[in-house]
Amino acid sequence: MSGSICLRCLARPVAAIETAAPTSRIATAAFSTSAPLAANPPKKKGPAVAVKKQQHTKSFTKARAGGKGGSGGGRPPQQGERKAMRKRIVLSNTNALEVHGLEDMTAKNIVDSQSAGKMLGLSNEVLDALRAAAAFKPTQGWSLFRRPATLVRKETLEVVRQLEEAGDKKSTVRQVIFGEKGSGKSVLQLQAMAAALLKGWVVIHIPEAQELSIGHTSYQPVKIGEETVYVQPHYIAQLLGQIAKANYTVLSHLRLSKQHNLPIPVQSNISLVRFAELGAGDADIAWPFFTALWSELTAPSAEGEGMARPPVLLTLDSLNFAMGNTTYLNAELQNIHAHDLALVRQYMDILSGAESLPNGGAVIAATTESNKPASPALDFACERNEALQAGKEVPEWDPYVKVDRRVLKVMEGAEALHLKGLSKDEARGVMEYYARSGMLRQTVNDSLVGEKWALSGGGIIGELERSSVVMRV
Amino acid sequence: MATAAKQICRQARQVSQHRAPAFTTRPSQCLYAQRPSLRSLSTSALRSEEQKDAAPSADDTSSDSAPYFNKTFYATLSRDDKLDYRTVSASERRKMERVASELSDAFDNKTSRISRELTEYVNQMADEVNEEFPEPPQERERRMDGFFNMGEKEDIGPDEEFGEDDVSSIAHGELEQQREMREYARLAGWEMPLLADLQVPFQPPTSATPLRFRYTTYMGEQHPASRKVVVEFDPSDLKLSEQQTSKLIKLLGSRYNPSTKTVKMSAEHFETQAQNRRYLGDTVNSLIAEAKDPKDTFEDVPFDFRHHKPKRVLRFPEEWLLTEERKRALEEKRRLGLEQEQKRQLISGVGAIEQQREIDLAAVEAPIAEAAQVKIPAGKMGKKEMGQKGRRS
Repeated sequence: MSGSICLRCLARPVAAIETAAPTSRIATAAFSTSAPLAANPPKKKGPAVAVKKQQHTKSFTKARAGGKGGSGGGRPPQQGERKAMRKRIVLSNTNALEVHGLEDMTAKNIVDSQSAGKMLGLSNEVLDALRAAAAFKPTQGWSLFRRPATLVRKETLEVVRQLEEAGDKKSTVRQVIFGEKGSGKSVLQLQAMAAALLKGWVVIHIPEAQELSIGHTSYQPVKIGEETVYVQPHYIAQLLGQIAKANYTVLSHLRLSKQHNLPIPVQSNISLVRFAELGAGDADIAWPFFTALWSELTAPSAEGEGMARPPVLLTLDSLNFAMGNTTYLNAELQNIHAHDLALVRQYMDILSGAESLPNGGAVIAATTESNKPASPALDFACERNEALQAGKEVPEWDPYVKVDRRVLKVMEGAEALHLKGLSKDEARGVMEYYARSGMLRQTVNDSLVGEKWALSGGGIIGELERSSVVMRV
Repeated sequence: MATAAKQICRQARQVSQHRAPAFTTRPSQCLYAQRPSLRSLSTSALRSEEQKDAAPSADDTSSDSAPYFNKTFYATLSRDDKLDYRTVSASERRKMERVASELSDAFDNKTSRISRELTEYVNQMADEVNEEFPEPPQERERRMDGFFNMGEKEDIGPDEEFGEDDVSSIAHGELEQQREMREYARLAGWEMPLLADLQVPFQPPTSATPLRFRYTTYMGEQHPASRKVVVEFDPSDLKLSEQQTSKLIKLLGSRYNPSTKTVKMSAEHFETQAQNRRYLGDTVNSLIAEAKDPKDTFEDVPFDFRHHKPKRVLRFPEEWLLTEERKRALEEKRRLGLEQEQKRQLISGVGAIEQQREIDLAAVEAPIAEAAQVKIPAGKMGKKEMGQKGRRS
């Protein structure tokens, strides 16, 4: 450390400051007030879920039992331990029954209209990939059942059909899923990701736009032409790691095809997995690696080994956080708009149709209804687009209320998918799955389905699950 | 009543202490004669006051003697006595003089018997009266308004003792109410029908008078809002073009109600209703003139109805009404569902658990049962267990 300071004049070399490249990722955040641990990627979840869970419980019981002062005393949880508990994803419940005859989701049956209203399990490969992409959330009820399975609803079939069409025609699907809290927006996104993975697409998922906008990760300005955008190096490094892990099978067959201006020398025919992992290893080179990877993925397919380029699925959850001002400040001490963040801008360019995916693909964003920032422009745009699609009377923006024009512009032309409650048949399908898992004791008949369907606000699946499985009498 | 008695008493005292003898031929004045004969409506009994002759009247004297006129004595007499003195005979005049001198002696001399007796009698009477009608409560001296008693009610002192001669104040209140009701009943019976003569048939307003003014009267009472005038009108009644009407609405701002499509303006900053009305009329005229002004049509300004929150009228959906037809349809639907259900296999959680338990049990039992079914050769039976193997070899 002291080597960089000239002891005689107490001055540091200028060059060292400007290109100060921290050797380790954790050492310094570029500009961040949060503890370095918080900015770290979440612990990688291996397939051995149950073992991990046991470890956690062990540490907690140990902490409680070790306290000499009796009840209330004991070692306080270590730094990050509470958050790890909070963010823990449990995908299995050994006490739940195994559902016999539960099919796995395949590329074939996910588009089949026969599967409507049926539950389909997730195969291990898809499960690992989704886990790596952080597609599961702790608020979802995965921990109630033996293994993860999802309900194929009519919106699922429709979304998957659109994906298939986009892959065939090399077009881009631009979709925003919105709907009530607990209506299954994130799970629909997960199903789209699962379908894309089964089709051999590349999936890039931002699990929480909140992580990008609430100022918990470092950021730095980057000039692109005239404009200044803000890059979040640590988050992008973590995202590159997720991309590499989630799309391992696809990316390992693809090779670098272009010459890129990269800060470190890279083998010219390196596989894209290795390339992404290189970028993930160092936050300082993450952004150039990400842009290079992006240009590789959006390059047109070519002949030759590893030169074919699959379609890309971009997903982003909690879109509300990416549709307004962030808590980051610029040099003028004004809040940075989320669309000035480099990563968000990449997504928004595709969502708005400013950039298209030459190999086909889709961008699917889902809004959130819990703990969301007010984004009236987004709400309005969803409503407007839905009305336009349905050919109904289009609502007008109140001319005396200030509007976020950037949001409206991005949302122009994006398809708005309003997710409502399940139909009664779908509700019956999912309730039979609950019963087969032994989590719902009653007999699933018309009256029970009708009762739970009505109680859950017309088949809002989160509420349905809560009323029939979580809050069991 | 008490005051009357007091007055008599006071007079009596005066008489008793008077230096000059009092002559009178007329009875003493009755104080009650001056009072009104009756109260209009009262339940308290009238009491007759005992007439008291406080002063002894002097007897007339008469004598038949030669003309006699004592000028000095005459001068001391009062006017009435002078008249008497002139009419009576000389002997009587002398007698008068004598009596007067005797009386004067008797009264002036404090030690004389008459004077003593009279004074005693008067004092006695005064004491009696005092006892019967005690002094009214003395008005207390008003306290100075200081900081601590500022705004306090004045001390009204103790209540007067109730003399059992009147009904209670509640009863008085009831009576007062009764009187008031009768008064209004008389009004309603006699005067109200006359109002019908003032009736004017209703003339609906024409399109020539689109302004609707509202005045408020407080029936002659002073009220700060009595000068207020409100005008209401519909901008579409003003015979303006569509563009002019919308400009007028934009100019009117929050005075326009988009739900009822009316404008409401009021004025109360002038002293009289007429002035306020005139002001409103002038304002409406200038607004219309502005709306007609084609210089700026305000077409680039959107309507601003932020001031108005439309009232939500919640309506029960008619399709939710349980009509006979709908009831029948529901019955049919339920029946069909039940039929469908009988055909399919129902799934229950308890059943699933039971099934799984059987499967698990079978998985445990199967190897045991399998092992049990394997035949063991008869010759070797039991040898292992008995530990014979080693012995035999």
